Amino acid sequence: MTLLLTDYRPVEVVRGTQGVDMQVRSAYTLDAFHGLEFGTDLQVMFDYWREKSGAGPLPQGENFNPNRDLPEHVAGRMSWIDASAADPMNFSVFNHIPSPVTQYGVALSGKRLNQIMSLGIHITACAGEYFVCQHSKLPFYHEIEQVVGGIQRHYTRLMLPVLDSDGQVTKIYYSCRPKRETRKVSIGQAGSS
Amino acid sequence: MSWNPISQGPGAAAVQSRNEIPFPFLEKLDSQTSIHDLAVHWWGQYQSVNSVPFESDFLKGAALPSDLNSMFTWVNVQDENPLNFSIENHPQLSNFSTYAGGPIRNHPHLLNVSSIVGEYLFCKNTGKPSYLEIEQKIGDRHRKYRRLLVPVKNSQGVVNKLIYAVRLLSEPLDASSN
Repeated sequence: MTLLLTDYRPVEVVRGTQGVDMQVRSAYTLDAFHGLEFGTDLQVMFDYWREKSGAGPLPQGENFNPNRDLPEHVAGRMSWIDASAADPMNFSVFNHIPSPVTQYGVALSGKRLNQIMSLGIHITACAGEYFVCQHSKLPFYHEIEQVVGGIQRHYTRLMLPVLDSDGQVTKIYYSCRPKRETRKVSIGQAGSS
Repeated sequence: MSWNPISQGPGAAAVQSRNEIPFPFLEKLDSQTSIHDLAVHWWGQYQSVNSVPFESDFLKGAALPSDLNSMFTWVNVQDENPLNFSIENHPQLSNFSTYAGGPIRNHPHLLNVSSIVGEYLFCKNTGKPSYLEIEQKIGDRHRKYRRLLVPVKNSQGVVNKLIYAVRLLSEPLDASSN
């Protein structure tokens, strides 16, 4: 029997530090996404997005209703960005999923990015990524490993743009799959398992 | 506008690190450079008004030696939409990129757009300068440089320009041209 192993390497990796905060954000192709997320809820979400796109490149907002069409365990973990503002720092996050660390969970729902600037390099990166997703009208799949504000997170994230009636991307849906448990860490502990 | 992952194509994976350097290190790392001159000038102006300096004061001809003016790049961030931010007097650090400045919407590289838009927005919104060491490897190409980014504001008190100085730390490599 031949075991076929596919090497899914990221196409773009951005490492960053700011004080004691650090992060690595790795972007993968959609081919890699299909291999790495086969059978996961992110795959279900992508397939739904693709189905709702029909013959077009992106779904229209009125056709894209995860709460109606997807199982609760998938739709319930989908957050979305209101990207209707011109300035990405005025984009807002909605339906943020719960987190073991209270201030990083549902408390973020309804907040604009410029209201959570304390998250430093994470918000800087998110603003750029949301902006590029909005204007390129492309889906994006990232693996993100970070320690920001003493909180360690490691997860994959799928971002999917959706059109409004004017043909603009004013909503970006996303969902994350944790690769390890979110936890508080102290300086010097971040690299340990 | 046609943004695609910069690394499309065989063997063209892109890696970059963008690490903030604490400001106390600037004096040692970049003394006698345009980064240092810009930092000294900005901090002096900042302290005199205890706030982000006004562009009208900052860019007065008398405020900066004429040869320094030519060494700085600035980003017009007046528009709300970063697509309309515009990089002026873009430095030709290397043959690393074909981008020669102008509106962000014309920037060819998705990797850079994502990073610089986030950094410009953060600087614009917080009014805080940013001092980064940036290393990029894209396929066979490589460059490493430090960049100081400082905000100035217009007469309405809104940050409308980000001024930056860069210093190349390594000669750009392009193995494909050898």
